[in-house]
Amino acid sequence: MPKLIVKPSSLKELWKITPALPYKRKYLSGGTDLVNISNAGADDSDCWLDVSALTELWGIKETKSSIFIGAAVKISEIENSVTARRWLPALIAAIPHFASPSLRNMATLGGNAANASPCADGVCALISERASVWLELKGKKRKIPLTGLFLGPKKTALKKDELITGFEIPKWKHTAAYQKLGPRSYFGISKAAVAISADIKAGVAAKVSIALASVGPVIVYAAKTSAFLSGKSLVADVISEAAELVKTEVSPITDTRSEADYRREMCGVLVSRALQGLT
Amino acid sequence: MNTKTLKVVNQPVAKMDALGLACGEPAFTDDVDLKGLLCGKILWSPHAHAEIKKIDVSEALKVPGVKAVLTYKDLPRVPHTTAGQGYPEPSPYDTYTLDNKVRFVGDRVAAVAAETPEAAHEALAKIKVEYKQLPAVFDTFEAMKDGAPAIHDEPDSKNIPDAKHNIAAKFDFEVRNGDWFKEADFVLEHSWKIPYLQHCAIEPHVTIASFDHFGRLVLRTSTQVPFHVRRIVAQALKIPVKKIRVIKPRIGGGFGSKQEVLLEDITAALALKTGRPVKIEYTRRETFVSSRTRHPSTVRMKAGVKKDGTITDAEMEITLNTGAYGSHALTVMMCSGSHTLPFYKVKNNIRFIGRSVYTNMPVAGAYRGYGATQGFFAWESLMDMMAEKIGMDPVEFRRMNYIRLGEGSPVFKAMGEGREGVEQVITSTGLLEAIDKGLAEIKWTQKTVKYRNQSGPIRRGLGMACMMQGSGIPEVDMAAATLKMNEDGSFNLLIGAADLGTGSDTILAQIAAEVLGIKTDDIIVYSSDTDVTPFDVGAYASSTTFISGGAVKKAAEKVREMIIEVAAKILDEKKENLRLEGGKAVSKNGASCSLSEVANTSLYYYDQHQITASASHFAHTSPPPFQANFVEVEVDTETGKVKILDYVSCVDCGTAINPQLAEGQNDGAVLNGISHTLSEEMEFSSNGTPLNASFRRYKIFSAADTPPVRTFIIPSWEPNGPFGAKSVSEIGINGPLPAVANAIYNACGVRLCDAPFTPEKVLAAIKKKD
Repeated sequence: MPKLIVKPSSLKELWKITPALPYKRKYLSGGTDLVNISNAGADDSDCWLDVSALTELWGIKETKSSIFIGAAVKISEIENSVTARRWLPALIAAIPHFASPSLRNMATLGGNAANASPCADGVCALISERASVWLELKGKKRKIPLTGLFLGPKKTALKKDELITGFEIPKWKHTAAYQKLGPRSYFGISKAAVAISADIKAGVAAKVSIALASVGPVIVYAAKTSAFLSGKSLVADVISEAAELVKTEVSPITDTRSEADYRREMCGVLVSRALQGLT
Repeated sequence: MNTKTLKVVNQPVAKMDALGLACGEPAFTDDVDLKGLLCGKILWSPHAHAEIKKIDVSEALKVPGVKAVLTYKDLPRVPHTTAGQGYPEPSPYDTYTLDNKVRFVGDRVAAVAAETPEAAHEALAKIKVEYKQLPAVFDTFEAMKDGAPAIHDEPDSKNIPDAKHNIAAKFDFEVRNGDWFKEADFVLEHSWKIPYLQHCAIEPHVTIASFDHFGRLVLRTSTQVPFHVRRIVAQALKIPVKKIRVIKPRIGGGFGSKQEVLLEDITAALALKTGRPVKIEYTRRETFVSSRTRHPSTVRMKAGVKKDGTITDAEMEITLNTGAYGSHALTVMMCSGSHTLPFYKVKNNIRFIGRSVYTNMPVAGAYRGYGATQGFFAWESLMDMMAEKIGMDPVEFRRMNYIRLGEGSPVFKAMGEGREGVEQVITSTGLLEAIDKGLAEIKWTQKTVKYRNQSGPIRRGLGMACMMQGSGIPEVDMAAATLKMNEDGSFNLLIGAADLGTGSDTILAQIAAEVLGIKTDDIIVYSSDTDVTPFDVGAYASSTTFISGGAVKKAAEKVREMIIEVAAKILDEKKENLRLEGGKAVSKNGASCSLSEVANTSLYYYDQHQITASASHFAHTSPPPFQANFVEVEVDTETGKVKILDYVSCVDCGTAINPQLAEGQNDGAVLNGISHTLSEEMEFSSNGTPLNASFRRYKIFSAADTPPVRTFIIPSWEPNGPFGAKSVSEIGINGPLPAVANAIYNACGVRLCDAPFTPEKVLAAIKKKD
């Protein structure tokens, strides 16, 4: 853990003090990843910037066309939010699989995204919800699709000091499912997970978006499978075709958590189960 | 005899240290703060097999705050074993406190004592070591081949049967009554594997070495075996036993790992070198890599069976990986046969072939179950396979063949722990009742019918497994106890027995209280201090209730006689008319006097003397507890995920001295076994480096993962045990592997033989079958 931890109370203050801080610095949000990495001796930063007190990063807001979730909102707060429950069914379905109840009281979506793990349950759900992410650097804001944030495992498109301030999810009528295979009930990183959001009218999926975790270098948006399903009726043949198709869109590896072939196979099983859950 | 007349024993008395520990009383090894305490750290080998050509500590010694750096050059070279067993140990003497050779990634290279952990770490980084890397071997079968690298080629190690072929221990035995498999209608053969598993006690290994005001060494240590620690530290460092005192405070779990004398020798050496108190505490990573593990095993079993259910022949060949040192190499291997082979009647021939093999891997040692875990996985899986082959119900097949009251087995005599065993017959068993209870609780019959024709990807199934263990090591284990009476009619109970969180202090007090007709809280227990308490081999081999309990009962009976003698004079009664009851000596005619009156009389008034007695106990028999395990599982045949829906464990431990604590012991053992079955496995890279040495990567089951586990105590009366008691602490861990394997087979027709049953393996097996 670095000797210096700075906790600004506003974005304005953050941008003001940043230049004077040691060059090797990192943002600290819930700390559920960063503190672990530090304890494992894999963090060499000289300073952490604690963003949890930045009120600009707080709150879940609803506009006519979108839902905004601040980057520093705790996962447990989202879990209990009426707005999230109404508009973000994939994220709500993913939260019970997210770490553990105690960690959910600390962890944030901003941290989940900034950590850029290909296993991030929150990010996986948000991508299937078609979320964008708001970034800010020295007062300059930009918005990019959430899929565009990730370049590889633990690698993001964030510039030096650029901060994730929040997520914008378009309001669209959809149901969703989240399926995860992990090593045990809680405190388990997935072997494979899938989030599906779909707008279904009379058994026909008008719009489908599928995201998968732990089966590629970043969260995989299954564009081909999503497009294949759009406009189709979710009958058994279509589901099994989608399950085969999704296996061609992922690139899992063998690591301590699972084996590549098993993971690819599971993508098909999980997609087919998630789709069955929707109908 | 039965438990009906008992007042304190067989009651759920509250564990005497529970409240204090729950409230955070500073009771554990690390809860003391000594003035001038130094931090000890150990430098670990980065190589699987290497010679230390040069070691230079001069830079390390210059680090401010560093008080000592020890290498093999600074210590006597004494071959010994860390196994923490009775003397002479049946494990090879192949370990040196520090050596000029390293034999696995995580072996000791050097040790440092410094004012702060930071200084100690800096010093470790500054020790310059020049290694000559040697070829390493990681597989037991490779290690036994001609020309394999010899891991123990040093000339001074002792009791290694075949160092050239890396054989740390071997034992073969055969009962022959005719030709092999001649009578069998079917012969079945298969192999089962268990990987590297760690105990995962929540309290890591920790030792504090300091000095008393006579300059004697005081070791406050998290151990299961305080008396063996004293002896082995004296041996390894060449200091007299009388110069060492070992104190075992409260312990946060042992499970066998703390039977090892792991840190005491090196911590003591650093204290002796610096003249200052020193503490060494393992990190979690060190606990995984450099403490002890279960012996990974390959068990091949071959058995013959007749159509009528008679088992004609049984052969078990076990190959254990003992890692770089042979701690418990012989005894775990022998127990894998001696606890399992006698369990079912084998009509003609029995053979056991056992090998424990050195590899350049972490060191295996004692672990709850102690070989029986490995053996029963094979034996109880094979029982189901045989039952299926002859078309018999697996429960009926077991009922027909298990060892009955009054029956013995040639295996008991042939195989002991590291030597010839002791002839014995079964003197108590509740296995029949345990099976019946389990069948009813799991709803075996109804569910068997219900699950006969299933469709869809989710399949349910039932499985069962029966087993036995032992109660102490016969004619090896010994325990002693001292009772001393106080003025108020309370008693000090001094015992060498080691409570590891198991509750043994409480149940031993219950035994004394029962004999003396008092309440448990009138017994003040002090245990496990080599200066104060009498000898006890320690907490292992499921021995404490049976052996230490026997000593306590004898000591209490002696004290009872002394009390009655005094009371007889007070009441002017004949001794034979008196009994102890409700804190009083009571006469048949109704007259009574309180125990405090007895104590005061003896201490102050008349024929003054201290009412006190000591007694020792050892046994010629090791009565097995029995257990019937039943499990209902759900197998997801598309993902391979196995879910345990219900686990019923019916255990006959004789009289449960404290039913609540006995249930807790069994629940914990079962959950430990379930975690082995579905999740746990240490993983290594191709050069022997551990890959998942942390709770982040090595997944033990947490509270959220715990399936319904239901323990039922099935009472029996063991005539050789205190108040009819046998053991309970280990047996439960052996059930889940075979019971779940049998249930998976019942659910979806695939037999898992390679633990743990991860979704990846289960799915692969299902695909192979289809």
